[in-house]
Amino acid sequence: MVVFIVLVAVFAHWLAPHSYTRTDLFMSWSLPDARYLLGGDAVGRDILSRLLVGAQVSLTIAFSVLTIVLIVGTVLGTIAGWHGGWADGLITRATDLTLAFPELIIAIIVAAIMGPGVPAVIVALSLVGWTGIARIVRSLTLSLRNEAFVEAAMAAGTRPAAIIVFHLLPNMVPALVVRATAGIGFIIMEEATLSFLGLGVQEPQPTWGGMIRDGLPALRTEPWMAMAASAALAFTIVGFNLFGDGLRDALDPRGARR
Amino acid sequence: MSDPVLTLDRVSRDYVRAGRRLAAVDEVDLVVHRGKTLGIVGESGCGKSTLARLALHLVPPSSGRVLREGQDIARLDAGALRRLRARMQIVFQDPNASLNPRWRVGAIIAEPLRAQGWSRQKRLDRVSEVLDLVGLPQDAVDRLPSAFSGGQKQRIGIARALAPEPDLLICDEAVSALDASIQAQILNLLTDLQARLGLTMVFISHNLAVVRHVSQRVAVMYLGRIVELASEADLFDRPQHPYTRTLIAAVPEPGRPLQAGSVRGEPPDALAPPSGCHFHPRCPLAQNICRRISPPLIEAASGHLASCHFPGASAS
Repeated sequence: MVVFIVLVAVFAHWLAPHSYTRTDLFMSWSLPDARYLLGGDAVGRDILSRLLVGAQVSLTIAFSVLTIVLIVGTVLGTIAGWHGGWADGLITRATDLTLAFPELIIAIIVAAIMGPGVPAVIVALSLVGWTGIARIVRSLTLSLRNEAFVEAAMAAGTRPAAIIVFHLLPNMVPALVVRATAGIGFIIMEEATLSFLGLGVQEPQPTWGGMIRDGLPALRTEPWMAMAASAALAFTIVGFNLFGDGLRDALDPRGARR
Repeated sequence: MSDPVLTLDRVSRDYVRAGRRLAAVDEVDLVVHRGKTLGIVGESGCGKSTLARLALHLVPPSSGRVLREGQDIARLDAGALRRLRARMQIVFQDPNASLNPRWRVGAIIAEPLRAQGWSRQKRLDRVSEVLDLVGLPQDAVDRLPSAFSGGQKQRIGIARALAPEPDLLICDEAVSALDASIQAQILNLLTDLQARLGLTMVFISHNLAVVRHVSQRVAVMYLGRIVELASEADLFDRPQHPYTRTLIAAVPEPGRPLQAGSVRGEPPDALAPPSGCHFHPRCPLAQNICRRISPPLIEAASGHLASCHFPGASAS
């Protein structure tokens, strides 16, 4: 599923049978037919083409956010867990403070400052997302630093930075991978929410959230746009969650023989 | 006596638990002599493992000094401490926990060498040497710890400890997690390596028989303090402290019925240790003085230290 989604996203422009921006008023709310396989939207653009390109937009945002969030969250989480003391206090407060705000509020603020669009979505979702990773990494660091092999590394004379990079991080990978792949589904969902509300990706760039919104008024009569976008969204989220479960099983050296 | 490799000078280590002070190790004086094995026995929670960590400066002492050949370890800078780490190594209790499950055995054994800045070629050569030394096959280097049995994992742990050519090896319950038959193998390996490499060892265990097997001198710990210290023969044949006697009596021996109730009661709460002699609530000989005054660790017989107001006395 994931491979399929990623391939579709990467090759969206080749796969799309039509331009995702070209309007054709004769095709407005047209039924699915041989030319427009999933029909046309309000201004007569090909829904299938917009769906495919929308996958690319969604995944680009998701992977950008994920990269930022993983780097920032891991760095701050290990510092908090390893160093403890005031650094831990500061970082833990910062995550609590961030989580105290509803993320929509943060998104609205960011959109107001930066103007709505792809960069604003990435910044808004990263601002919220790093806290989850930082919390996990912090608790993993706290438990791993008490492991006997970490003490053995200290007895061997290994420097603390090397212990973090070579002993702690490899043992966090499974938990982070599971979290990250589940996180992708979550980020795509949130991006769709923001776009649905008009705070995210802007026309004419297609996005699933925006398509669901635009399809909503016509849901009774021409449901295929909202339904196609929703189905794509559900398919992607479920796909990444299953992918995360599979990866976790494959990455655990102790569970390898199951 | 021969030259001291490691000296503990009134070393204490406190922890704060629930706002109260817990003395895990309480003003311990100890000397480890070159080429000898010092055994340390005691119940779980008596501070044995904390003592091992203090000796290696894995935890800093709350007070007192740890001297390595006369040098206070706490005063060394980071670089000097790292160089010293090569010369004092530790074998941990649980080989399943002390080996990083994601590292290959070669990397695990070479870790202390990498920390010392050895070149790749020297590391490979040394890893191959110590694999021979501990009786593991050469192809172990490319495998993960999970491919090995408990006894083999402990051999990996010993190989890692020996890799940087230490002169002091601390074994913290090094055989306690192993099956009885494997225990004997590992003990023989350790005593054999000690003789061949001239190692100085500190052997920590709750198992009297194991300590007796490997040690020349034995210290008995109770609630953070050393209560008796003597040569192996003196301690086991002529125990002076009533706690040592109850410990020895509790070891099952073929042909001798177990004396039920030889150790009375539970170990006391370390957060609220008994007044005076820590052992008095469980001691068959306890008198008033034991409740009030903590007995010093003094010579009860020649070369035989005991911390008891009535050393050598027997219960009547």
